[in-house]
Amino acid sequence: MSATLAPPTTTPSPASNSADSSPPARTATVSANPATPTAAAQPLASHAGTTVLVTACCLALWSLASGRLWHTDLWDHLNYGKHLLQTQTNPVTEPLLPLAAGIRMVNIPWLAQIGMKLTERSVGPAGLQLLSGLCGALAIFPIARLAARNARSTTAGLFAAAIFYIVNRHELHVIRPQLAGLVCYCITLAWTLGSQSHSLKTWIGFTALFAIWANLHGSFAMGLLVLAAAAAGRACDVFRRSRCIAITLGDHQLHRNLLLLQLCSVAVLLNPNGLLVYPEIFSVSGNANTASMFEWQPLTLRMPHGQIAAAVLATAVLCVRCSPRRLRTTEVLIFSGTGLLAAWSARMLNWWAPAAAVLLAVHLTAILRPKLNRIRFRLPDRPSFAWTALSLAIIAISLAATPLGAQLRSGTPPAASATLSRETPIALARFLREQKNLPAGLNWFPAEWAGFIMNQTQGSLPSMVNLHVHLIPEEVWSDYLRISAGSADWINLLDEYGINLVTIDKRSQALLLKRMRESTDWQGLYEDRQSVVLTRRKPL
Amino acid sequence: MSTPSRRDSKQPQKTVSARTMLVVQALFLGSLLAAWICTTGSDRRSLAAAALSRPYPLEAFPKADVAAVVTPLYNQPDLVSDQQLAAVIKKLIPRFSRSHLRPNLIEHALRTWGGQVRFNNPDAISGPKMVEFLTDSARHLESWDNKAKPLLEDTPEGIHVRFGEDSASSVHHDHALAALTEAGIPLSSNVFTTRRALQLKHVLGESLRDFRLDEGETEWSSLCFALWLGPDGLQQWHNGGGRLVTFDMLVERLVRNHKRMGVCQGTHRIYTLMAMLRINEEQQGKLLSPASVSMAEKWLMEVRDLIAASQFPDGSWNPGWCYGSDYQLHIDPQEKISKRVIATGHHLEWMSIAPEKFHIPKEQIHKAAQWLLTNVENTPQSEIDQNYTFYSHVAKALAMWRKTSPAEFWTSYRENHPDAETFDAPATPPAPPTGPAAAAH
Repeated sequence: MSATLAPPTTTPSPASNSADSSPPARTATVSANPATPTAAAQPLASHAGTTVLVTACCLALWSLASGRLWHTDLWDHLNYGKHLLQTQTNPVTEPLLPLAAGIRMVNIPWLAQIGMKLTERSVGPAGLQLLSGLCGALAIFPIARLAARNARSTTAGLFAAAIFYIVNRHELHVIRPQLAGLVCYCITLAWTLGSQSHSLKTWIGFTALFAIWANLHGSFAMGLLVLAAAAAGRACDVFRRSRCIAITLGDHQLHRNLLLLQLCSVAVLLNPNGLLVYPEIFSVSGNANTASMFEWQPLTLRMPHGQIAAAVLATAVLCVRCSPRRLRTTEVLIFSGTGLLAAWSARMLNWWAPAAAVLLAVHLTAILRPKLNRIRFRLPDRPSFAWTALSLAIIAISLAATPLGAQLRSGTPPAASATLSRETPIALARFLREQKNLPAGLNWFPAEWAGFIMNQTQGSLPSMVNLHVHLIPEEVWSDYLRISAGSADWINLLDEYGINLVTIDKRSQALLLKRMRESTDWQGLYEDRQSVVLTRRKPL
Repeated sequence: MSTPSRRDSKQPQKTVSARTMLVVQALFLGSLLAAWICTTGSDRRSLAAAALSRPYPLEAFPKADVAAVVTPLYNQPDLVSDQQLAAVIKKLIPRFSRSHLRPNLIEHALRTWGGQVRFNNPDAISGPKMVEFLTDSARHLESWDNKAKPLLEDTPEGIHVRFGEDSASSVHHDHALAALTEAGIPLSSNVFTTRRALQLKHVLGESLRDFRLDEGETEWSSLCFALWLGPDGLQQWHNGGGRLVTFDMLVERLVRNHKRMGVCQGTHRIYTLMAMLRINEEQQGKLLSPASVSMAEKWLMEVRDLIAASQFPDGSWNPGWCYGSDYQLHIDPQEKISKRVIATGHHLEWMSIAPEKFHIPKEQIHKAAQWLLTNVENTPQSEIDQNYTFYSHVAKALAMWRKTSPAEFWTSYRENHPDAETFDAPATPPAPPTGPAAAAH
């Protein structure tokens, strides 16, 4: 028994003559394979398969960038981004909500918030749409490329891109720092489920990636878990083969994986909050207030994305069972680990989707390979600069077709009603912005609208809550929910917080609206198709 | 399609050199050390607390052993004469049954009489005995035949005073601590739980840790914090959950809700705010920011205007005081007279420590005092005993308008009136409150 095992490559598939595609590009630059001297002569050459995958990702980019901006998290992050730019400091305590004063704020995504705010400031909401599309495309590409390389089939790459997009569509359409985290996660995952090659570039690259990631979003913890799974999976594979702990512990690949994990786990400390980022990850996900948020609740079959995830899971299990390919322990660990997390909280589906996409795509392609081999169409084998040029052209066309592209061509930004989701209270915010004599003090807005209203009114109307619920005191959040539900003691609760102005979402707070309309202490100030504003007749 | 390359599997695996291992370990440990060094003190405490699953440690604690005192400002014999004051105070001598003694009664009595007073009447409970009842679990349990839960509960870091649970507990959060504080009990005083002998400072520490800005009652806690931390100019601390609490935030919390809300028809908030302003002034503005001072003063002037407009013709106020001239819309025909005693007594009490700019017209103050004096005079002792907690504020308020305290005045008065503590009938034990009455006062 050898003392070491070879480092993992892509799990070898049965030798076949796949007629459906050429091998996907191992690199867009000079190929290291001496069997392709032509590639060495064309430094920017790429394969046709890469162009196909780029096209798929550009489709995703265009689709995501053309989607309307969701009305929730985005605006809270823009508000924090604005605060960061104004004060030039990362806040130590929550700066925007009076009722959250003094609460320690470990603002991990500060860099993403600044980026979002600068984008919005320079090119407007269309820029944010493009940012959303870019992040989605940049997340999908490494997953698609990984699947194509592992399966040696561009078709697998297309499958992976489609599955990833379909399973995770609801998250990809919400622009927030999590998208940046997803890009970093997919890069990490692609390396882990790929060759796991260790070079100086890999080590420097991943260290830098994690250092940046820890300033973009708290999902760097998922990246560390993936790296840990790489190490654990390697150890399991070696042990299974050798049945010897000494050999396992002496495995060099295992050592390298562990060292990389160590480096990355300290690279994340390069952020304004230092060591606090670690406990913050647990405090956010374990916060009592998040339990009341729909997207943090367990994934169930009642949710559309739950149904899709279940279908993908079932198909993946079936494919793995029937597939001629072997599974590495790392793949099993990541697939099942992220799957359990997703079952625990629907928000974690974000991290399961790419792993599931790769697994399903690769094994499905392996099963379908005999049929695919019968297809006469073949993509050209040889890498060529022409494919690179075509990829770039497709990227340029996709960018031009986005709302930002249209804005840059026409010179006029699109109307807010075309850019923002239909649930965004645009007219309401305009009304509130124009009012001069609104009562002073705290205001009650639906949490989903608070960020947008505060953004549009320049923070002149302080809100009881926003969607950063982990920063809100439990009593306050609990009282907010009771008011929102139209609880029988709504009067006392509004009196308790000295609230003089209430804005109601007609769809979500129908009972509260009914009760407030019956009260003689409150009067209507404004109404449109989606909202009502009421104020106290005698402000506190 | 070309066959999969087996190049990688044939290449010999590179070993990880010892130097690389050491370099990475050095980077790893060095980074952790550097991150720790760069972490601020408060964040280090937070990390340590999270790692050990302990509350955030207190970083602010008073140096002095005795709390600040907010002294009354006026001595007005025309408002209440010595005879009148003596008549009122006599009726508030704490002649409590020692069996099933409610902490709420003791707290009010202690706040009125202080911790040093001694009475000639054997039925009256002395100041030291009242202190002992609140600080020694054995005395408390003895009174309840060992059938109640102890008033004082051990926590890992200090002592928690039970409140709001049952008749054997305190009624309001930190009311017991406030009573001991205003009675002048030092932090070094012994406090005995069922398991340990600690000190009053452990009660204060626990109060600072478990304080939540958004809990229902913050009046008594805020008063305690002002009296203990104010003299040292300590403006802020972190509670056990790591939340920064400042006196400015306490002011905002006290003024934010409807004026009808809060302990005793919202009147204790007023007293606490006024006390905080007084301490801030004595500390040359170290406690509160100018914005908070403005906010508090504006709010107190609103209160002043409201009570000026809502006083009944007979001089009293009712719970509708906060509605100003609309108070008549909030008269409950079933309202007990004790509600008016609460409102009137408390308003007189806070005005006795307030500068004149917060006063209603003098004649209105006199009318209020007169109403109280008449009410106490005409109310049978048994009824006063039944409503001791409400009437205790009357005695305290009237004494404060003579720039004295009930204990000080009575001790002096008794020297010339040796039979002053003779009563015609034994004290009537107050009936234990049930339901909402338990939380009323």
